[in-house]
Parts: sequence; C-alpha cells; structure tokens
Amino acid sequence: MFKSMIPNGNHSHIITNTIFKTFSRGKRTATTINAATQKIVNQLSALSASRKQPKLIRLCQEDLIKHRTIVNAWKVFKRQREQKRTAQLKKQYESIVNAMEDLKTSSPELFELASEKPKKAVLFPLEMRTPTDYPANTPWIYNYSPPAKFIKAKKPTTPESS
Amino acid sequence: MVGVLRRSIVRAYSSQTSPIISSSLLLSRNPIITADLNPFEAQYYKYQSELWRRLMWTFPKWFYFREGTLAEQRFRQLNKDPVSYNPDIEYPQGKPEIRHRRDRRFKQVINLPKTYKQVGEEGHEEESLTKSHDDLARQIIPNSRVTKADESNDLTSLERKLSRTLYLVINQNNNWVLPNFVESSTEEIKALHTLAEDGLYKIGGEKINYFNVSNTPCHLRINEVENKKEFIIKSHILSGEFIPQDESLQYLWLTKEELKGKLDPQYYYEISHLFSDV
Repeated sequence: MFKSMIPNGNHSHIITNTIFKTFSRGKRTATTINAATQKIVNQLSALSASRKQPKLIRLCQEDLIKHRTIVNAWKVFKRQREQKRTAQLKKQYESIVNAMEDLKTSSPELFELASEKPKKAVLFPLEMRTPTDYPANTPWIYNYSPPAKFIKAKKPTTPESS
Repeated sequence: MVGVLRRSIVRAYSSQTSPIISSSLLLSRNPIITADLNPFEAQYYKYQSELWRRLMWTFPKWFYFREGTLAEQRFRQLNKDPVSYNPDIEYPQGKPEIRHRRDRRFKQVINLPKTYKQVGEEGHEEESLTKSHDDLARQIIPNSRVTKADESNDLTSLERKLSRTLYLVINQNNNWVLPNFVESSTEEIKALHTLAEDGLYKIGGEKINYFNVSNTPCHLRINEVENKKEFIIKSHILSGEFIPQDESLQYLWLTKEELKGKLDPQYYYEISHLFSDV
C-alpha cells in the first residue's frame, strides 16, 4: 500500500522509514528523525566548527587604515544622501502646507474637497510593481482598457466636457 | 506665517480680478528596474561581498554530495583541490592551511555542474536551437536593462530609462509644461483631483490606468502671466498609454535631468523639489 503511493524514484529512505514506523513493536521511541538525516546531524556535530571556519583576517596597520577610510567614506556618502532626501521631503511638505493654506482662503469649497478623507481605505493598486534588477519580457503593459462600469459611469460626462 | 500669506494675497489681488484656480497634473511613471549604482556604491558593495565571502564557512560538500555518487564525482571534476601543504617545501606566499579541501586563508570558490552549454562551448549552438523556452534546464539570460526605446532615444516611449522616474510634459505655446486644466463651467464645483483626471482623459485618451496619490495638491504655483493659480496633483501611471487626442499635441516622458534642459528655468526651479532623483 505504501509502496504504491510512492512514485518511482529515489525514495528509499522514505520507504524504510515508513516500514520502520509501521512494524515497530514493543517500546516505541519518540524519535521521528529519519536515519539518513540523523547521520548528517551526527556528522555535522562531530566536525568541529574551527575546521569549517576560515582564518581570521589580520590586517596590517596600513590595511586597517585603508579599511577604516572606506567605511568612513561610505558613512559620509550615506549621510549626504540622507540629508539631501530629508531636505527635499521637508520642501515637499512645506509646499503642501502652503498650497492648502492658500486654497483655504481662495476657495473653501475646494479646500473641503481636497482635505476630506476617503470613505473607503485607499490601497496601493496591485498593478504597482516593485523594481527588479532586470526588466520583464514586456516592460510595460499597453493594452489597458478601463473596466466596463467605469466607462458607463464616465460616458454622460464626456459630451459636457468636450 | 498664515497671516502674512493672507495679507499678501489681499494686497496682490485687490487691484485686479481674482486668479483662476486650475489644476496641474504631475503624472509619473515609477522606475521598473532598480536604480543604477554610482561607481562608489558599486565598488563598496563589491568590497563588502568579497569580505563576506572570505569570512564564510567552508562549503559542506559532504552534506550535499554523498561520497561515491556520480554527482560527487562531477563536483570533484569541477572543483580541483588546492595546493596541499608539504613540510619539505618552502612557501614564500605563506603556508597553505587546508581544511576540508579548502585553503582557510582565502575565500572558497565553488563551481557547480551546469545543466546547459555556455557560449563558446562545444555544442552550444545546437542546444540553443533544440532547447525550448520553458525548459527548466535552459540557461537563464536576463533581459537587457537598456531597451529599444533607449537605443533609438524615443522620448515619447514609456519603456525608456527603466531605472528612472519619468514625468509627463506637454508642449503649450512652444513651452514645455506640466499639463494644466481649468474648469470650464463655473456653476459646478469639481475637486482638483477630479479636474486633473478629466483633463488627462480629455487630452490623453481613457486607456490610462493611473493611481492618484492624494486629493490634496502637492504644490501651488502662481502663474502671474495668465493670472492663474496652478495646484499640482501627483499621480502615477500604472499601465496603458498616453495617446494624444489632438494630433498637434506634443508630449514627452522625461527624467528630472532632462526636464531641467527642457523646461523654462524659472518654472523648473519652482517645481524641482517635486521630482525624484531616482
């Protein structure tokens, strides 16, 4: 029965394991780990870590200075990039505040519409992609057509606007 | 701050008619591939990854390749043992320290058997002809980061500069500007983002899938020449295409640097902080 469930191939350890489990009598052991895995675990634990580890890097004074210079240069680079980004974000925020303050005085109705919270939570659309290292076979999808209900809803407004 | 702003507005517009409120659209195509690294970044990442490889533990060959199997034999053919230590020989470059067939002093380079023939190898051409596109054993060659649109320098294509954010600009009276829309009917009040959306569909067709970032305008630009207040609405194009409904309408998809060259300097200076560097 068990053999028929297993497709042809290299599954000998599975078979032995099942048989072992099925025919064990008397005292049942709690170990469910299979023999082959147990062997590897034993091997891995028997090998001392020091044998697997690489040699420590011992840098001379000159190399150490070089390494520190590289790390410091990286920190400076990152800090400058971060400062630039923070400054830009601050500017963007200020321009939003400025626009809304102006809108409040020049058109209170539009201000209400612009600042009202959406009734449904706005989620990021599924079509939005995370950048990958290499482009997909079709980098851009051109054949988009709006959903049918959207077109119907839009149609009455088009003659007015055009 | 607010008080000053109000007073200045009152003073500026008391003598003339109040400015028209209009809505501009900052439509962007977000990057499709990761940003290009600058030379310093690339060098630093290389340095770090080399350090990481040097400090990595020895590859547990005995775990992946059981001794005496064909796979192990193939692995051994590809990975030759390093020069072993002989006490009778002098090593000017330092004594080799072999542990588990690895010289502990260096990083370990592992070559794994390939399921395909590489370029220049015997039988590569036949294989590329016979192997199907869905074959799991085929060699995986990533697509180029430079597209056809980049090669032909097609500024109207959405497939150009995949690693950068592109922005839509249109030509108005021989000036490149962000598309700007004014409400035609005066009775009905339309929210700024709706105005921008309708305007976009009107000039670019309805086959645009886009995501509006917020109903709130992200910038106010006071256009004194046309007596207009331009509220800029930010949104992203996700799919579809901008197809100009008017034949004469010229449009471009440009990066921040290219915008600097195309836009009027004063206009660019006012809105440059809205554009992304990536």
